[in-house]
Amino acid sequence: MFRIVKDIVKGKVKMTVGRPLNGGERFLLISLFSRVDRVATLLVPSNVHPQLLNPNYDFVRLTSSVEANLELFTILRERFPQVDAAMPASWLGLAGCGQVEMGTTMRISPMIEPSPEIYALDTKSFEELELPKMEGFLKTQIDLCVEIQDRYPEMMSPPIIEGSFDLAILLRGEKLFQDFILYKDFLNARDSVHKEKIKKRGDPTFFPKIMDFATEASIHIGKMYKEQGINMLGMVIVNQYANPPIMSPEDFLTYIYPYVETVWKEFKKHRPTAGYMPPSPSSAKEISKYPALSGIACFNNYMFPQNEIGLTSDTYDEEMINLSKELKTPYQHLIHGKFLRDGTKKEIEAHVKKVCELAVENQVPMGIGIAAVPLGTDLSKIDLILESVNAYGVYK
Amino acid sequence: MVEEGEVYDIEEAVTKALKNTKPIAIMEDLITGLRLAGDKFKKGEYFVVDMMQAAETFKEGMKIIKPKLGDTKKEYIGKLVIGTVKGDIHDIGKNLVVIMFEGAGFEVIDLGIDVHKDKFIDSVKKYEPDIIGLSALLTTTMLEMEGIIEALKANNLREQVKIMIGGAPASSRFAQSIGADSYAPNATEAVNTALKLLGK
Repeated sequence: MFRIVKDIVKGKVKMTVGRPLNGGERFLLISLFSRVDRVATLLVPSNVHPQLLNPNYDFVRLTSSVEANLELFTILRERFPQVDAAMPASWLGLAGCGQVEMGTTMRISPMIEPSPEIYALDTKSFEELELPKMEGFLKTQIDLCVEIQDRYPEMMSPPIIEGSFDLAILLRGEKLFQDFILYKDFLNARDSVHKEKIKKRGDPTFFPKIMDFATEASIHIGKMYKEQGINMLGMVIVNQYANPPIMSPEDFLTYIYPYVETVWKEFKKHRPTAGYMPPSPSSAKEISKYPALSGIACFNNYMFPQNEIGLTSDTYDEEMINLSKELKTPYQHLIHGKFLRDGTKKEIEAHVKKVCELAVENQVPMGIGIAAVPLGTDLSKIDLILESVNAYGVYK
Repeated sequence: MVEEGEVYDIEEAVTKALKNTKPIAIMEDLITGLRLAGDKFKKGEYFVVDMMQAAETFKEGMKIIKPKLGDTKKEYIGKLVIGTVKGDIHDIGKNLVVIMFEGAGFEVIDLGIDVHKDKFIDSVKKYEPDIIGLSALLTTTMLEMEGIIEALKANNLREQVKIMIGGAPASSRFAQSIGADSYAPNATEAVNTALKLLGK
């Protein structure tokens, strides 16, 4: 599959492959702004709570065993065979990002996804931080990626690594926001008196120091994946803590993006995407001018204003579809888990129908992603989304 | 100054203002600034880091004003007990709600993060709040909210408090389904909703 995609990227072959596309091919071709047979569907396995799939699997078991993740992934694949892409097949969540091996302690309990509890920089100094070794949760995560790519070569399962800002958060915690504010204000201080006042509230030089380290760590972890023979094509670099509503797109582009781009450039030949969730269509257009942010992972509706049940307005879909045509960037329409949980089947079908018909009518390559499916959700609503895509998302 | 988050200059500005302005008037200015920042947050013009800076500026200003208010007993417009539910250790959103409620004139008892339902029950008995605020960031921990409401019912406390919920995975329908009185999508809206719930 990856050879086909590489050839398409290089313009050597057209998108027809002489047989029905498999899920991974469909999603990758859509990502490359190729119009295929129908709208693609994406389900991130870790976004489905393990207990919804099988009560024998919990987060304690899943963070300690590669095999348990593979078993649960098989269960998920059998439950939703229609899903095109199902990356990444891991229920380690934030445990497998490398920060634990640098000193952060996670809270791991059966029912709640792993979260940082004590940050590395709460117990050690910056000078004591060291790049992670191939051990612990990070090793489990990398081993899992190797196994998934071996066992499911037909599907898309690129590595997903934390970018500079997210790794820095996982080492520093929310104090990083204060570090960021001090740094930004210091850079924009009107005079030396103001600079001195800023220094009284903290060290404005700490933010670039931790970001430089986190950038180095992010690249180091990416290389660890590569050294294990993992296919890096389409790898994803995540910086979700620097997204709205935490930080404005302007602040992100000015102060964080340079670090994002450094990591992105390191892996550029593998066509990585640095994920971003713009707060509006106009913001999506603006960020698409930046090379690391120009793909499907950044051209989505996830953070657009929602109504009370987690549904973004149809108006935004129309704007995004028009922009998609103009910018030749595929649109990823994400359905919030809470809409899946709280919405009726009638509402869900009507919504998927509307957005699919818009994409088909305008001949715009689109993916529909299902985000964070919470406990209490009727899984047949996922089936309904997939069936609705089959019914209304076929390109003529 | 609060609206713009001018935290480095607030001490000097408030100290200067106190020479010819009553402390209560300065406090009202600080509150207005916080409310204006909150309005911008609600409209998507401000982000969490901007709100953190505005809140910090407000707190720094209040530190100077409070001792000057003398013996004047503060008249609160209501009392809120708030916490992030058990299993959840996220508190950025909750902290913004706390500061917005304080700015709006509420007495706030912040129970912190990872709060067991028994602590909510004990706090209702001890502080007799008008409102309980339940916060959760995770889809898994938000399910704790229902248990807290059930425990309030079991202790015959449900009728004496209004219950508001918030956090990324929450919604109005979810609030309704677990028997909460209301859901607020952000800190500014939470204050408006609370005032409505209390008929103010």
